[in-house]
Amino acid sequence: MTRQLRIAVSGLHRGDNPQPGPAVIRSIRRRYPSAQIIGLSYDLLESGLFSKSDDGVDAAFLMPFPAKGPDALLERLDEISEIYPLDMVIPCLDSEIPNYLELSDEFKSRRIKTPLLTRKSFDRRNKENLFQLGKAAGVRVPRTIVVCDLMAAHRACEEIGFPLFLKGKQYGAGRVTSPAEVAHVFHSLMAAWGGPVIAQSAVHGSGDEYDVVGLGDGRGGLLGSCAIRKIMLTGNGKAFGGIVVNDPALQESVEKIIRKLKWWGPFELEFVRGQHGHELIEMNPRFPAWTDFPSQIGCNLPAMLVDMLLSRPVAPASPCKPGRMFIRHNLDLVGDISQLAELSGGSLMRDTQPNLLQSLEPVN
Amino acid sequence: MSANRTRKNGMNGGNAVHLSNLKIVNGCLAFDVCSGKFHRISESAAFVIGELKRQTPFGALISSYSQRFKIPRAVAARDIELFLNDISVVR
Repeated sequence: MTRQLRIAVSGLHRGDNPQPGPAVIRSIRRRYPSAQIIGLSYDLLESGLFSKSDDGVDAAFLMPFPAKGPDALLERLDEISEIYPLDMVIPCLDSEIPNYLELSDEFKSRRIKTPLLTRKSFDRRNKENLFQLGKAAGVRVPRTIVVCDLMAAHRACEEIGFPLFLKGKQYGAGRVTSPAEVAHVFHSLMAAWGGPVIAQSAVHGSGDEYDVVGLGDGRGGLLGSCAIRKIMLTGNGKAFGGIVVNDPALQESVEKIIRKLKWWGPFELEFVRGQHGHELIEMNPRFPAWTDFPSQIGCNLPAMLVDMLLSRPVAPASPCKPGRMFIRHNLDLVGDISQLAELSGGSLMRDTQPNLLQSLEPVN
Repeated sequence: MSANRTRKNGMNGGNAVHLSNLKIVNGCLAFDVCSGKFHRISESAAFVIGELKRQTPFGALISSYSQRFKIPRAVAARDIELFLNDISVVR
């Protein structure tokens, strides 16, 4: 009898800026229903910890923040592995990935599968380097200037012209329409994420936003992808609804980027439709929060990632049919103070498997 | 006849729509599979788009349109011309 697959997943909070973890878990369970999922959490109130549905976790552990560095991460994962020997870890937050890349040899020696992305391709797609990447790949990217202080931010804004966006190194962005707004947005981003800050030209055109989730094979090929137009946005521009599109020009841009980077594993490319076509505004090195949508229409990329990590043969995913759409639907999850108490001790373990849909039960 | 538009300059925010990319859904929605944009359309608009997709010659389109909606040929021709200008369809 083969041992139950045990997968650790992070990014469990589905708030107004939803993280991908629960969508990744749900997708994996579609292919691997008996997989045991270990949640890696940074906060007692991450919503995924309270889910009793198929996007919930079988156990959860509090993690040191990524800024604590690779050693702290490894120490914690070693502690977790003593209780739940891990087969693989799927980090779902941008800020976590550098630590995992740093530790790839350590994980190899422990036989824990982690992303096989290279540091070089990870760095080439970051916000500071995206413009150069676009140029090299032949994909349009809005003009970008990296700034480290306020004076430089003012100069960059004047040079690019208003309106434009100031973006944090990893997260966060603010639209700036006049010189008077520069200082506020710049200082907010520096305080939240540290420097540098990236000044990026706004895209003039229809303003329609397109996202593409996909899986690279590490040799320049694409194992599967799904492109959507965002049809509903949250206050901070996240997709709350989307519809599948089939645009050969968009697909060509995606393929060019993945080929240039020889990208391995999951990614999300964000485009805005400008006057001269799609412009790439960001590339995220992970699955997006809406990744369970393509999984439900025949393109289960997280399950394919598990296959890749297990060195199983991976057949390319079938294309998603244009017109299929998703609308996000938020529900209230019931928890108990005892769960907070347990997790505040560092871990939350469930004896049974309350994660399957059929186990949903009324709570009095 | 009308196509409900969100922008003054055509169906795709000024970008031309290729007929081959346009899908009529349940006779009341035009969906551009390439841009992902969709628009509620009237029965008469759906009729014209359907004929154009079938590559019906313009003269035959005017005839079938005037018969279908029981309007004079001249009115049908004007109606169709205005509609085509409106949606910036590239044939």
